Amino acid sequence: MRINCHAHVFNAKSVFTSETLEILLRRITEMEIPALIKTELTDQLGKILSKAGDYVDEETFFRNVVKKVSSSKEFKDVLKTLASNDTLKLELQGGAALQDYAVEGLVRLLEKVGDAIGQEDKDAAKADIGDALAFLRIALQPSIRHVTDILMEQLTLQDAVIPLVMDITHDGSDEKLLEKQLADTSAQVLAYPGRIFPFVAVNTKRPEHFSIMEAALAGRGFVGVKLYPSLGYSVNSPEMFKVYAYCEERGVPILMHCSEGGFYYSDETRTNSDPALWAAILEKHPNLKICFGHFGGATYLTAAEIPASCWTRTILDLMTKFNGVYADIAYHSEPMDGGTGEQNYFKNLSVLLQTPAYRDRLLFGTDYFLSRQRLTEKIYWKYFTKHLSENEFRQISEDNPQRYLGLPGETQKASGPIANYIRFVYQQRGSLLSESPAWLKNAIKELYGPTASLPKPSLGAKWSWNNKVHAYFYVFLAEGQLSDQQKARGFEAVGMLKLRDLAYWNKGFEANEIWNLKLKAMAENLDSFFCANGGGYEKKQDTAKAIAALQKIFNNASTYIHEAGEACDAIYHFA
Amino acid sequence: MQSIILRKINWGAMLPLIPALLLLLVVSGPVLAADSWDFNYRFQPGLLTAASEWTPALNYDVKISKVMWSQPEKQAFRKYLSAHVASRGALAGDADLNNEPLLADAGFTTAINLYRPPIVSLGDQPGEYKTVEEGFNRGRLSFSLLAGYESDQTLDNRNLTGGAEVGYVLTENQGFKALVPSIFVGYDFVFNDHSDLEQDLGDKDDSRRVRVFASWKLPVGQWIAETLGGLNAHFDLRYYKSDGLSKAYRDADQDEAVYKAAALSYSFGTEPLWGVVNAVYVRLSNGRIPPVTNDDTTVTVGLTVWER
Repeated sequence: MRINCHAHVFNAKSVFTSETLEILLRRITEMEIPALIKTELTDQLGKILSKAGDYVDEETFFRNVVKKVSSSKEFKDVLKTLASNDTLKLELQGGAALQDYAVEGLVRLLEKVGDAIGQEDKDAAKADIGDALAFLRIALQPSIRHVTDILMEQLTLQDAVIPLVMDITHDGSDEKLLEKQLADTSAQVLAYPGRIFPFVAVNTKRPEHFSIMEAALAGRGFVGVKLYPSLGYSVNSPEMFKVYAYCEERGVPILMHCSEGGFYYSDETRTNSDPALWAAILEKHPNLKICFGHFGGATYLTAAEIPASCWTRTILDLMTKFNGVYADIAYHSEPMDGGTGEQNYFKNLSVLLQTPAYRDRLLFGTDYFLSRQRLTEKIYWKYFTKHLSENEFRQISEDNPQRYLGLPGETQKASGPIANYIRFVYQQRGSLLSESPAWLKNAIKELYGPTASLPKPSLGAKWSWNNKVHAYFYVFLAEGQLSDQQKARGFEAVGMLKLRDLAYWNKGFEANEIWNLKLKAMAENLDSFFCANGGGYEKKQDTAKAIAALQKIFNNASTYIHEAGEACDAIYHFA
Repeated sequence: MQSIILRKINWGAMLPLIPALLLLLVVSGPVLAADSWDFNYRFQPGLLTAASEWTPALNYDVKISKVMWSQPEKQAFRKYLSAHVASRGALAGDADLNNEPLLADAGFTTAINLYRPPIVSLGDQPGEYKTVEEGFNRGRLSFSLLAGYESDQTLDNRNLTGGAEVGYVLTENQGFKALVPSIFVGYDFVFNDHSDLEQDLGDKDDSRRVRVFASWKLPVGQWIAETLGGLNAHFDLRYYKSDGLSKAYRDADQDEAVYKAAALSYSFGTEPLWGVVNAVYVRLSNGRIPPVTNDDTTVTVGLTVWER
């Protein structure tokens, strides 16, 4: 199993605070895109995200940006320089036409606008507007599930990911937001069991950070801890030492952001991620597993020799002294510029991978989706598999991550956090959405006995929240037919219940006269519910036919709820 | 096997029904062609057993109905008035073994649904939604006026009937709603058209009969423990009373019947027991449901297994 040890699946909404907005906007201003577009992007993003909790609609977002940019005086000046038959000029004549564009069209249009402006913009060293927009499109996805799906679609079934939770907070007052991010990230373990290994964020600015971490590691499928001290906290505080002691004792791996780029609270807090601070910490906790994300920054590896004094060198020194020190190569896009920088980078990396002290400590990571500012996940993987030998890539993407995470294998048993992960998946087995890999199935048999197994998962399009008929059918059932326990199992698991499990079901235990009236009541109620919430009838359907069909559906105990949902889908539609 | 089945069929008793079936099809033909009428039917072949003998049988249920008036579907208190013509029963190869009546009726039904759909806004996450406008479900009330004709398959005993039915059902059982019963009350006047049985008893009175049913489903598992969510208790009460029957019936205590049943059911939900048992129930019942003539106390245990 190949593992991407450094990724993110949160969306902009899930980490939004006033603090986040500032940090995110700063990140955008650092992108190498034309100033005019940059201004509009940050302006629109600020407006959209300031409506905290509301749906962030990427289509509206991009439409507003295109409208604003194309109506600006600067852009009109640029347009004047274009030929009269230029396609961009033709496309932007008449702002109303923008309403006809879907997201794809709007993004394409914005790229063209960016290219046109970029030719005139002296500040834009490189007009990588397409990557910037793609990054924003992922950030604006409606949920963590959507972001995860985009990532997993680019990987094979043999690939796994460590998603790192971000906790950007000022004083911890936004605990509901973090709780939602944790819950949604935990749900991804069930969506991709055995392939998603989330790390919980610790930020000592949040008073409850320790209990949140404990709970996540004990029973929510989290297997490690993410630190991001440049967000404004010290790694040397007593609170942090309590965290280190906990992690060292239980074999919990830590991953800390360790480059001078990325998110930061202020210029002063950037140095909170300095690996030199860790010598003293590791003296006290020598068995701690700590991975320095980004390896201190790719820049030092693109030099002919790794400088004697730099963050990367400090990390290498720590590796020679402490067995639990790792580093990942996430967001190492500098070598992709080619030239001597690329040659030096891979020469240095190969040397490290041949040196016994370092060979077992380097991990593969991409920093998805933040790395989407430069390139896609698929291309990132492809780039490194092309430039490293098969053995070298296996070392950093399979052997080392397996040891770092504590996955069960021929030479080691499952670590404490991984054992908790296995228990979590087994306890939640009714909610799994995809097939588990062999290692997880075997681990479950080892832990629970040879007869223990995972049920066949995933209903896919048969029962999908994206299908509004299914979603509204679920809500109808949640409003009076499902018990609290059933609802707590989640939408997907409810799809695998049968009609017999609903409140109305009493066939065989009451007179037929009563039962027939109940079927009518159920059919009428559901029809009313669909219609009142904007549903309409499919062609050749009407109220009478719908009621008759629903009565038949509700009359069969063995019908799965997802099957009933599919049957409703043949009768109703939503705009 | 085929010859045994053919021998079991009493073709003589079937003959009078053939014109009736043909008439039904002829009458219903034009009606079925019209879109505004709803046509529902079910035919189910099977075996009918009685007195240790068996006979092939065909269960049928045919109903033609039309909603004559209704109120908008999207609002609270949805209501309608409908008319229907229906026939149901079982045709057995050996009519003497058939103890199910053949029924035909026509009538009007009006109902009011004490339900207002909540207006919701779907969230991003599966299962997430916000209620924009609260709804309620206080059950459904219906009232029917019926006129019908009933007969046994041999046409030896035939009645004209007229009456009314009132029903109240509640499809939810969370909280106090579990204590609210679903109720059905039927009251019929029975005009004796022809009865060999009554003639033999030296009597041929018209009669009246009432049926009162009530049922409850209590989610006791949810009340006891989270792990017992699939456990439910069911209560079923039925009362039948006929007035004006011949003295012989009254003396035989056949003019009144009570049936009481209590059951516990458990559904294994997504995880069948041993991979094969989907649901199980145990029922204790006492009394009788006509046309059964003897009161009995019965314990029934049922399993649903190997469900797909």
